[in-house]
Order: sequence, then C-alpha cells, then structure tokens
Amino acid sequence: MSEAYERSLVVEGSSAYERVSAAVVGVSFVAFLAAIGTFFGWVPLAENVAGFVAARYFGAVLVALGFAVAGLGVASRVGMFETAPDDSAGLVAAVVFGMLWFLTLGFVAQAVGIGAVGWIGALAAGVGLAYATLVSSEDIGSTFPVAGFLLFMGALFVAGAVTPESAWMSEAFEATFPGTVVIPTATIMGALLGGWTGAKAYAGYGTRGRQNGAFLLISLVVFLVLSILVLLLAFVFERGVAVVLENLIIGAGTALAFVALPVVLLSRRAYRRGIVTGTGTDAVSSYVRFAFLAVFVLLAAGLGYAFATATSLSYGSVTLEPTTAVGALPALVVSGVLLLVARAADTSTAETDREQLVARLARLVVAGLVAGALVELFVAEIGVPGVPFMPIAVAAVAAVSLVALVASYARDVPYPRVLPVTVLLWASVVAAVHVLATGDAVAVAGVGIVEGGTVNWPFLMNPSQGLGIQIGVMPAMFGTIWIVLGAVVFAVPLAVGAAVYLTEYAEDSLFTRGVDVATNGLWSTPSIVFGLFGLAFIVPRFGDSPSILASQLVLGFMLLPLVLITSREAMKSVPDEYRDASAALGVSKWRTIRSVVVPAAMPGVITGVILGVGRIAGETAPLLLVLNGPNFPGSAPGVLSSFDVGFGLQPPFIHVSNPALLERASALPYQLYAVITAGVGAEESFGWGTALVLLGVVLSFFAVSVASRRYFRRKLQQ
Amino acid sequence: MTETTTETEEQSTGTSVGSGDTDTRTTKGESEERTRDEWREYSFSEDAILSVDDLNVYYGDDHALKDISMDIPEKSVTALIGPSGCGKSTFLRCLNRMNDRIKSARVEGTVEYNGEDVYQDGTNLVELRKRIGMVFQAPNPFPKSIRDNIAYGPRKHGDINRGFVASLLGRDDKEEEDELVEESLRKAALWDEVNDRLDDNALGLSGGQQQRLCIARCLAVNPEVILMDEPASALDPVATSKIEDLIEELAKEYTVVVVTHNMQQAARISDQTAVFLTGGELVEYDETDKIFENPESQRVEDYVTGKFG
Ligand SMILES: Nc1ncnc2c1ncn2[C@@H]1O[C@H](COP(=O)(O)OP(=O)(O)OP(=O)(O)O)[C@@H](O)[C@H]1O
Ligand SMILES: [Mg+2]
Repeated sequence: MSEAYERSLVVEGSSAYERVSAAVVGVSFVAFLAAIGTFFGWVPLAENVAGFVAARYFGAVLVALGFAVAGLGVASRVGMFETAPDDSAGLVAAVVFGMLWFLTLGFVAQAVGIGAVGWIGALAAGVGLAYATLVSSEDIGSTFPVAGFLLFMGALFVAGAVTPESAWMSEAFEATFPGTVVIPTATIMGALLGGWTGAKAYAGYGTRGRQNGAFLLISLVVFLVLSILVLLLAFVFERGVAVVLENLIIGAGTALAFVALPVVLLSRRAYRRGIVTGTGTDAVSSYVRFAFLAVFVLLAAGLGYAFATATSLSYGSVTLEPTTAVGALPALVVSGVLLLVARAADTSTAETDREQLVARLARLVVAGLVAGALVELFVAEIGVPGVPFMPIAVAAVAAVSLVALVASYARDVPYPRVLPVTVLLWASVVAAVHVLATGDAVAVAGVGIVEGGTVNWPFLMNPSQGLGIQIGVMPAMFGTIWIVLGAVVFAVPLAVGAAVYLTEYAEDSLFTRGVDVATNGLWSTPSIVFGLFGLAFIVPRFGDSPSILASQLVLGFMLLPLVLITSREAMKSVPDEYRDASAALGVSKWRTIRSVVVPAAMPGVITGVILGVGRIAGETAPLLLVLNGPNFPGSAPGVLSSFDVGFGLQPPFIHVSNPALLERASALPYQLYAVITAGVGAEESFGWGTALVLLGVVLSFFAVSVASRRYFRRKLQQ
Repeated sequence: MTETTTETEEQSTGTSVGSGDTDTRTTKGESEERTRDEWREYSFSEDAILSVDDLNVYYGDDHALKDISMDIPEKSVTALIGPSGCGKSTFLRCLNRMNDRIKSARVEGTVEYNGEDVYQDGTNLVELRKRIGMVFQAPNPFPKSIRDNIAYGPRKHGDINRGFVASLLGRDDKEEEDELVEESLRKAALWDEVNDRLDDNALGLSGGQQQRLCIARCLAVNPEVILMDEPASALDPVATSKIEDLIEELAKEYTVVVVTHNMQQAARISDQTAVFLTGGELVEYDETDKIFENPESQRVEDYVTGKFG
C-alpha cells in the first residue's frame, strides 16, 4: 500500500471501532425516541421499573453513551484504529460545545445558588472549552466535550440528584423546571450529540466523518418532520374517531357496491399485468396489489354473506345491516367504474356507414338522457303530475338496449357490441340522478335505487342540536364544502386567465412586475384583513348579510394570488420550443395556449390549488365576519335544491337565483372554534370529531387534486 | 446562375437572382432608380416560389443580415451554408416570419412568396406558416402522443374534427386522421419504427426519431415550402443519411430550404447553394456544383474547401 494514502482503499468487514460507533448511534436514537415518548406518556419516567425509578435508566444510558464516546476518542487518538481525524474539530463543533457547556454550567451554578458569579464562570469555562475544542485534534475535540456532558447529566440522574419529582424553581427566570422536563430534554440533547459524534467516528472523522454526522442530523430532522405530521394526524384520529363513527350503520348492499369498486379496478390491473410480475420493486408492488385485491375480495365475500343470509354484523359502534336497497351514490360510483371498463374494452370501432349511424344514434340518446338529468338536477322535474318522464324514458332506453344486447349475441349486428352496455350504464346513472333530484325511489321488485342509500352515519348526517346535545356536523360540513368549492370555482379560472394574460400576452414591463409584487403581497395578507374587507365591501353588495356567497368570494380572493403565482411559474416553465413549434405549424396563439401551454402547465396550476385549498378550508377568522351564521344550525344549506332558474323576456332572459347562497351558515373550523370557546368540558370529544371531519374534508379535496394532477402529468408523459 | 452579394452584381444574368423592389417601405439607396418591371426582366424567374429582395435584419443595433437578395426555385433543395453566427437561421426565420416572435428583431426588405410580399400589412401569419412550414434545429415534439403530434396542425386548423362533440355530431374524422398520420409518418420514413406505438408519448422517441417526427408533423399540414434549420445536426450518421434521403424525396413535391454546417451534405442533397459569410452577407448563390467546383469568390472557395471557417 502506498505511503501517500492514510487509509486503505478497500476495507473488508467492519472493525470493532465501527461497530462501537454504530452502537452509539443506535442507542442514541433509541434514547432520543424514548425521551420524546415520555412527553406523551408512552414511556415511563417517574414509575418504578424493575426496582428503580425509570429516570435512572435514562441516566444509565447517558453514562454508558458517555463512556463509549470517550472511548471512541481515546482509541482513535492512541492509534488503535485507522482513522483520519483533522487537526481541529472545526468552528461549528467548537461553538456548539462551548454554548452547551456554558448553558449547562450556568444553570448548575444558578441551581446551587451562586447566580451571577456562576454565570461568569460558566462563560469562561464555555469559551475555554470552545478554544480547547478548536485546537485539539478532531477525534478528541469532538468526543470529549460530548462525553463530559453525557457523563455529567447521566451521573446526576443515576445518583438521584435530579429525579422526576424534583422541581427547581428559579426566581431569576421566574419559571419552574420540573424533573419530568429536565430529564427528557437533557436526554434528547445528549442523544443528538452522542449520535452526531458516533456518526462522525463511524466514518473515521475527517471530511467523510463530518459528512456522515451531517447526514445523521439531517435525517433526524426529516424524521422529525414526518413524525410530527403522522403524530398530528394520528392524534386527531385517535381522539375523534370514536365520536365520528358512533352508531354508524351501513347497508351490506351499499358496502358491497363500494367494495366492488376496488375489486373491479384491481382485478382489471391484475388481469392486464399478471398477478405477480417482474422482479425487485415491481414484484413487491404487484404483491402489494395482490394483497389489496385479496383483502377486498374477502371483504366482498363477507358482505355478500351478510347480504345473502340477512344477518347483521356489528363491530364496536359500527353496524352492517343486510339490505337489498342500493344507495344512489354507490350506484353512481359502480356504474361509473363499469363505464370505464366498458370504454377500455371498446376496441371495436364502428366501421361501416350503418354501424356509424347506430353509434351516432346511441350517443344522441345518451346525450339526451344526460341533458334531461341535468335539467332535473338544477331546474325542475320533467313530466306532468303523476307521470314522471325521466323514469319512463330511462326504462324505455334500458329495455331497448337490453334487447339489443341479447340480439347481438343471437346474430351479427350492425353495431359494436359494447354499445348497448354503455347505453345501459348511462341509463342507470341517469336513473340515480333522477332519484337524487326528486327523492322518489326507482325500484323494481324491491331492488332498486333509493334516495340517500342505506348508509346511516349519524355524525355526518345530523345537524347538531346545540351545546350538550350535539350529534352531528352535517350543516357545518356542507357549509365548508360549498364554500371551498365556490372559492375554487370563482378563483381558479380567474387566476389561470390572469396568468395566461401576464405570461403570454403582456410584455415584461413595469406593469407585470407591479402585478407580481401585488400578487405576492396579497398572498401574505392576513386573513382577518380579507375578512374585514369582505364585511365592508362584499357583504353590503350581496344581500347585506353575511352569507355563503360572501364567504366564497372572500376565500376566493385569498386563493386567487397563490393560484396565480403557481400558474404563472408553471406557464413560464413551459419551454418556448413548444410555442415556436406550434406557431410554425400555423396555429394561432390562442389555440396554442389552449392546447399546448395550459395542458403543460396544468400540474403546476393544480399544485397551487392544493396548497391554497389547504389554507382556505381551515380558515376561521374571515368566516367569523362574512359567514357568521348560528354556531349550530339545524339544517344544511340547501344550495343544490334552491337553485331557481326562470325564463323571461327581458335580458338576460334566463334568471338564476339561489337564496340559500345568500344565507348565513356554519363551517367546520368556525363550529370547531365555537365548540372550543364554549368551554364545556364534555364537548371536547365533539370538538375532536369535528376536527377529524375537517381533516377528512381537506384531505379529500387534496386527494382529488393529487389524482387530477397525476392525470395531467400522465397525459404529458405516459 | 450568378452570385448576388450586392445590388450591382444582381444585374448579371441568371435565373435565380433577386427580384426587384416592390414598395417604398423596403426601398434601399441605389435600387430606387430602377422600376420594378425593369428588375423583373432581368431577374424574375418563372419557377421562383420565394424571392427575397434587399433583406436587412437587425437585432437591436446589431445588423445581422445585410442586403440579401435571392430567388428560391420551386420543388428543389436550396442549401444555406456558412460559418456559425453568419445569419443563416435568421434568414430562414425571415421566410415564414418567425422572426416576428423575437422582440428585438427588425426586418427591412421584401420576401415574396408566390409574388406576394409576406411583410406587407395584413399578411395572415397563420396562413403563411401553414404554407411555409419549419423544422427546427433541435427536435421539439409536443409532450403528447405521436398521433397527437402529427394530427396537431390539421386538428387546430379544423381540417380534422375529433373529440366528444364531433362524435356526437357524427363528424368524427378518425379514419381521415389515421390516414393522414400514416401518410405523414411514411413520408418522413418513420412509419415502420413507430406504427405499433402511435399512442405513446413522443418524448419517448430517440433524438433522430423525434426529428423525423417533427418533419412528419410539418408535412401533415401540407405546406408548399419546408424550412429546415440544421435538421441533422444532433444525429448520428445513420439517422443523418435517413434525413438526407428524406429531403431528396421531399424535393419532388415540396420546396425545401435547408441550413447545414456539413459541406458534403449540402453538396449531396441540394440543387443550389447559398453561401453566407460572417457579417451577414450573402457572398455567393449558385448551382451547387458550381459552388463546390468552381466558385467565383475566393472566400467561398476557401470556405468550402475548409481553409476558412
Ligand atoms: N434572438 C436574437 N437576439 C439577438 N441577436 C440574435 C438573435 N438571434 C441571433 N442573433 C444574432 O444574429 C446573428 C446571426 O445569428 P443566426 O442564429 O442567424 O446565425 P446562424 O448562421 O444560424 O449560426 P449557427 O450556424 O451557429 O446556427 C448572430 O450574431 C447572433 O448573435
Ligand atoms: Mg442557426
């Protein structure tokens, strides 16, 4: 081996030194977790464990770590192992250790009562230690100060000088430091330092060692961020789930329809790609898919059993009722899925003129049905009293397609075979919409579609009856959904339009730069200011009372700048080559924007919507001003049902009004705030339930947006 | 054929020299004395589809092209060669007014396409660029499927109707589109490589395939003239020779103007060659054989023999 290199090129196996360092890192990590666990009561601190107070074990671990770290330093210094320490541990380590010791000694001095003098001494000691760290070789400089801290703190805890019961009241700080805080905090600090040093030692100090240490710290931070997220969700879930699920009853038929969805999707995938394919991660993911499929099939079997044998299953407060009615919503979902399947299978295209004619006819029929359904949904039921038109039309269409389907198997037919299936599915969707819109059931021989289905979810389906008798959050939930939807519908087109204008049409000028600054400013404007603006400006112009519409507009204003910013960035990052290519093909600017620029920018736009919706959905302050409904309203805002479309001879000929939009209402964060400020102890669980539903609503918006972003990305890449 | 570096030289006879001035907006010094008809007698060639006259291009204060005049005959390949930065791309972009898209660019002079000045007010750029297509130096397919790339132009022009509404109205032109896609891809010698993955994203093709896709996309709009800016500069010899064959093939139906840095390529594929030299001048424009075997100008001889770059 050449003398010029300090370390050999290839190191076989791991040395004892590396094993000890790795153990230090591992133990530090466990100690770190355990110390955090004590704050949540998951890990005992003051209790007796095997004859000793748990805190003493923390002390023992710290002492052990201290010895190990010191040993790592000494072993490297005396050259027992091949390491490559620098001449100095570096400025960062020196400052960190100096501060650490300054604070530790300062607090100790304060605790034993030498106060100011003690602090001066501590300062001197800290500076001295920093200097010593700086001038001593890296292996000593980065281990000894840490080892000293670990040993000192550990000894305090082991010896019982600091116990969970001890509480040090500092008059100088006007604060009390109980042992239950001091011990975990010191352990966390010690564990971080020990782990850092261990990671450095593991790579033999020097550049590689520092890199290793830095990686460890960075991964700890990442871990921390993720665990905070998980903790937050888990915490709310744990507190709220019992309230939310109370007395939930699901019809087995409905559940079956819901379960059928993933089963169909997953089986299609499995069929297409084979159950288990590929190697490595491919195989893993196909196993996972297979596992999901198996779970869903089992679920479906269980539900089918309950359904067939008419027994009800219950788990906790959730009950599965056997029932033959299929809810309107699941029916919609299932039909939608089947529709997708049918479309995917639609490889046979219409070839001859006659086939095309039939296909066109079918499409016209479907379009007519859908139009009818939309009219029913938003305007009024179609038909004369006693004779509902839509069900009859649906039945007729369904019958014809059934006959056509059967006929297609009997003989050669002048249309693609999938056509009648498609038409049938559309017909069922339309029937479901009809039920939703009119509330009349459509059923044949007991099996059919009824309004609301057979899911009874008290927490989500009931209004609260005021403090103390709260069962549900439906009005607030719908309030939030309507407000967020309205804000998105209002803000997104405006923002995208403005972004198109600013990036594609406006020249880069003082004006556009001014708009940019204004947008950024608007985005950072406090929400309560938006609320005040809404109260003073929007409310007087729309019915002179706080309302859903006003809230939609105000939250829309809040959403606008973010979507504008992200849309602009996304459009700017669409390569100019696309625009040139399109222009060179003789395509006008507007068409280019519509078919190249906006699709390519779509994922960015949706990212903006995701972030923005997350913010506005939880907004409370402006709603206090512009929504300001009863805290616990008795009914949900009937936005869909109170659309009123009239036709007149005066412009604009069609008059649309929706009184529900102009009424006050409640929203989830608003209600949550009310529950908390009411200060009634028993309401706490209701609050957590509300918070969980709020999280659920936000996450569903999030999921929809992420899915659509994936869709647009796929379209750009596939 | 003759070289056409300056106005005076243009008076020498030949079939493809610059045509005369048209309107005052573009008039330059000496040429004002002659009427348009006098110029025509000398220089208007019956088969010129594009005639450039006295073209000057400025980028801000930078004079990028100086007094360029040349006629480009129909259904032939015209090569533009010259050192880097001499203005070949700039010239090409003038022909279909893609220079309009560069803010600092200012164009003076005339470019007549079938006898009409494309720089006059009221020129419909969309129509112009439909007729004079362009293939860029770097392949730039859209992030869409191969089919969508090819059909992009015709769909946007309304020549082909696709989509839900069209199908509802019974005007879905799927077959026409399929035919067009196949025809264009065949012309661009790409059909055999991609016919089984027309619905895959075009960005998944190799660089050479992408370039041929861009050519196919341009052909699908059915232009009369195709401008190509170093279409083979990023390609390997095999792909390059495919593109060269393609260009020769295309010249049967289309007028091709191609920029290249490759002398052999220009010699192989082009009918006439224009040599630009640094400073944005057109030094010599003549039949390709003449340029490469017996050029008039010493500078051109040096350049094509590699003594001067
Ligand atoms: N968008 C632009 N803005 C300003 N100047 C430009 C622009 N495009 C080109 N130029 C200038 O115009 C001159 C000619 O450029 P052009 O791109 O036409 O050269 P070229 O002959 O195509 O070179 P190459 O062979 O390297 O592609 C150069 O001096 C260049 O700096
Ligand atoms: Mg160029």
